[in-house]
Amino acid sequence: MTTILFCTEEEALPDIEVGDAVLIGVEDLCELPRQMLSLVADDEKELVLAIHGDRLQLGSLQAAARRLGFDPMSLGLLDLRSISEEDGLLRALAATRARLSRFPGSLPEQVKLLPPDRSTRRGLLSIGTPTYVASPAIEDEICVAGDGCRVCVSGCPAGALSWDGGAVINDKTSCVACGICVTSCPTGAVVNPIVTPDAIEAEISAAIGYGSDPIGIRYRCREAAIGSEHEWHQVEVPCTGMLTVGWLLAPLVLGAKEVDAVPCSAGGCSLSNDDRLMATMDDASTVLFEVGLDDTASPYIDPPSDLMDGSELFGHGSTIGAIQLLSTDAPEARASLQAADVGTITIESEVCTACEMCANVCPTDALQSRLEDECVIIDFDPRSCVACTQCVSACPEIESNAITMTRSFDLVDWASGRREIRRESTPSCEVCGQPIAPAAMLSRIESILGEDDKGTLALIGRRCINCRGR
Amino acid sequence: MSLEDLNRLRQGVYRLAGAGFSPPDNDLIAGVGGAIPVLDALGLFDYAFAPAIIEAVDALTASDIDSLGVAYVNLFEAGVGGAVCSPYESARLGDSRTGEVAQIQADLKRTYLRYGLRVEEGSAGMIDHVATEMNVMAALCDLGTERKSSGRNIDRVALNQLEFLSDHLLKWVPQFTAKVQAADRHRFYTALAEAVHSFLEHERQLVPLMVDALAGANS
Repeated sequence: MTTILFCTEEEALPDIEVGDAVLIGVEDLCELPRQMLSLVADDEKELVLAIHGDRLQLGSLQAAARRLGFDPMSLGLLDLRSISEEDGLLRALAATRARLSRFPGSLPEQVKLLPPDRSTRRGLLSIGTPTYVASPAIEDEICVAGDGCRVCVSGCPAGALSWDGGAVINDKTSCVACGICVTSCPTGAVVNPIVTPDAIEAEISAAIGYGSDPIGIRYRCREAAIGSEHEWHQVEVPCTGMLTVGWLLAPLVLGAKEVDAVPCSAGGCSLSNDDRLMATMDDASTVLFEVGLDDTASPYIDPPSDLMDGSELFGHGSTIGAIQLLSTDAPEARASLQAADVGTITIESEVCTACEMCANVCPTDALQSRLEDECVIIDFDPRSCVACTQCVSACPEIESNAITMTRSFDLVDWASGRREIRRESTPSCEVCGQPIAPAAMLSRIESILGEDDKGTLALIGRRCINCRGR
Repeated sequence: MSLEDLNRLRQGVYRLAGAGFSPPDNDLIAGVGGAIPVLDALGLFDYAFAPAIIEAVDALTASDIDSLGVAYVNLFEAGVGGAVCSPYESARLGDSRTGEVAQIQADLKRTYLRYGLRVEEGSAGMIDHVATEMNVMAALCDLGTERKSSGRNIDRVALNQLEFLSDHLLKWVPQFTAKVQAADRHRFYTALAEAVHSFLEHERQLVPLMVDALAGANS
């Protein structure tokens, strides 16, 4: 069962049908949330609170939720300031409940204690009722930092993430829980329990699926001023800087009329993520233009059911899937982009030594290497590339631009799938017959050693590393 | 909430953890039920770690001494080549072949003395036991409360707490509790490990904020 507590301080309890849920009006719920202790049944599974965010005593609310046996991060908070009509309220309730149903539970590492108010001496010397927000944590089993990946570290606007000995360290006290690491992680290893791909997909699907009138989806920064607009459903995100092109396109795939994003203030993002958001929105517009869709027109695509678990439409690498779904009428569309997580890799054969480092560090296996016909072959699948640039960073010949990544999509290229982008012969060992090293690498070594050490040069050119001592 | 109450609450949780990781006896099971009302009065439910503490206390209350004793030995004392989940800092962080175990224990002894804590005769073997380290933090919280109540400066005590947390507890207890959770077949030790993990994650954030707040208030 679900209980919906409705703050009636500023408006009367609406006379609405809420299905199997129980709707209870509570006067001044926002400032006195402890009232809910006597209103919610012990065996209740879900709790939705229709509140006024500017007056909410969040810390007290979270404490009351804990006392009732709820994970405070699991509460569905519906800000009444973002709702203008009864229809909008019902839609928001449906969407909030859908999002709640996908809440995975929070771990101790995914809860951030907000600093107390330090503007007063009292604030300095007393802790007050603590307030918590959900924050990201890294799943070590999925994280590929051990291979050198540092995408989240370089993208963190707060400098909270660092890379140390093959692991990413999250300094929770510096973390601002903006979520950029969540969507920039190439493997989906960074998880914030309140903005999982599944939950976002569920909320947006429910909002779009409610009623017959098409609506727009507006991503709103949690710090943004809230206003209500009919025909829009607002999806709260920690920061609009976390949005990807895929997140902007996915609601259109699901049938939204249009998509928008509102950063925290008219003056710009407090985390300086404006440029990132603008570039992402420009990219989304470019994609829509190139695939023949106006950026305000919904294609009303019925996505394949196997894409509907959220991870495909909102998970890591989802931009590729969204572009593919939107481009059925434009099979040859292509465009250069600024910030999108889609990329094309080019290797310059003249300077590449075929060391395979790029393939070894690629977190999505877009780049793979193999040994075949006495050659090292590097393959590239553009449909798996998330433009993380780990291959570029890891390349030993980076100063010669041996490998480059361009943010772009090309549907013809995508249709051709995995292809060979580099082939280099590997001489065989005169003793055991095993490959010694790519010929280009031996040439590179020769250019480094020069004429000074011909003996060594002759040896490494004829024998593999295992047979050189024999 | 005042800093004194917060210190008392933290002290209570550290004491609870220390008792939980000590060899179990009937007094522990009988007495633990009274802990929650005391912690509740100090604002336990205001904090994110509250549900995990409640779960651990519930699990302990529902336990019998025999199965608890067996579980304790299985986890923390028995095992070929050492305990399954060694509860000693030196065993987890040090290499006995290079003398690191003795080094860690000697450093800890000096640290306790520097904090004004006395190491009791005959307790040398327990100096880096998880229960002892939890009780050390409890003692530092107690010291903070005592000094604050008598109007004295507690900056140094707060810094000592931060130091002990960073240099010792957070360096090995999270891995230790993860190992307990993976190896335990008794509900209580799984719940206790989860509670300590949750509490220390909170301490990782809270104690630096306290030190900052005190520094700000004095400047």
